Amino acid sequence: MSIEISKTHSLIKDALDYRAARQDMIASNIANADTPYYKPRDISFENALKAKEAALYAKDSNQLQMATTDSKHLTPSAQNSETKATLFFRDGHMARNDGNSVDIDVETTEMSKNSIMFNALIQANKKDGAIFKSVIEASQKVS
Amino acid sequence: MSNFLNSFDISGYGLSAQRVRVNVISSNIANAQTTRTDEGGPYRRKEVVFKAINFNDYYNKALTDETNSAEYQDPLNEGEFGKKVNPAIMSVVVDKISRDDSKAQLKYEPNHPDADANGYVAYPNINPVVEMADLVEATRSYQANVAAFESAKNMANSAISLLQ
Repeated sequence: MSIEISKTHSLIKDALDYRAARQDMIASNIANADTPYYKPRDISFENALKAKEAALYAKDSNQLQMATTDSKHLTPSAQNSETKATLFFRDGHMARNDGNSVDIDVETTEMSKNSIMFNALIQANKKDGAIFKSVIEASQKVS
Repeated sequence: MSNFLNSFDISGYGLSAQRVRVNVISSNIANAQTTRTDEGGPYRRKEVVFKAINFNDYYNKALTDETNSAEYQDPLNEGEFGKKVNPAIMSVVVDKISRDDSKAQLKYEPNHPDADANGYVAYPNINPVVEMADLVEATRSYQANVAAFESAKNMANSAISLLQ
């Protein structure tokens, strides 16, 4: 990052990346709705976003700070970002006799939700930018 | 790094696979009464088999590197417990078009030019009800792929609107 005008920005960027990946996964589930033995896949990224948010806004974590008795001691970063998104098989629907268990209704609902959330994030990003725009415009009037 | 135009291609593969399937079903229905073919004998029913393929090596590798993989819980007891999601994002291609070599239907029509010595004609073993059911399924899957495509288009357009 060269210039950081907003912490929200990088959080939204991550969220958008995950949403785009999830769109791809749902698209491949639908494309394989008639492929024998195909199992629907999904990605769960909420915990990863939470960790990212905590790292960005430096939320009070329940972690104990490392006590240092010497100035040369290394201090660990507060959040070692071990939290990652999780890939998993989203299954448990009625399997057809070809071993495929993609449920078109579930897939299309998830896709709509994902799409709406993506658009909401885009709008949030625009709003975030608009704040800075208004500040800059206000500063032009004061001369 | 994920490519935003990925999902278009995934849905596009799905569309073309389902279209091949519709074509094959149409040819089954069209040839329901065909008693002569180049391979000899009546027309034989054909069926399309799909296969999932690894869509994008780089993207899938990045995904598996940067995420955890939960093990499959196997809710339906299919003996696939503990399988990992790999590769994560798959597209679909037509694997093969298989020929259904079930027995032909024999009809007694002694005046037919293709009748055998006993006066029986071999007609293709095609059940129009099965074909129509298949056709409806293929059409629905095609529509689902179109819906996925539309939603990806929506997302891409709203991302582009950030530039305005």
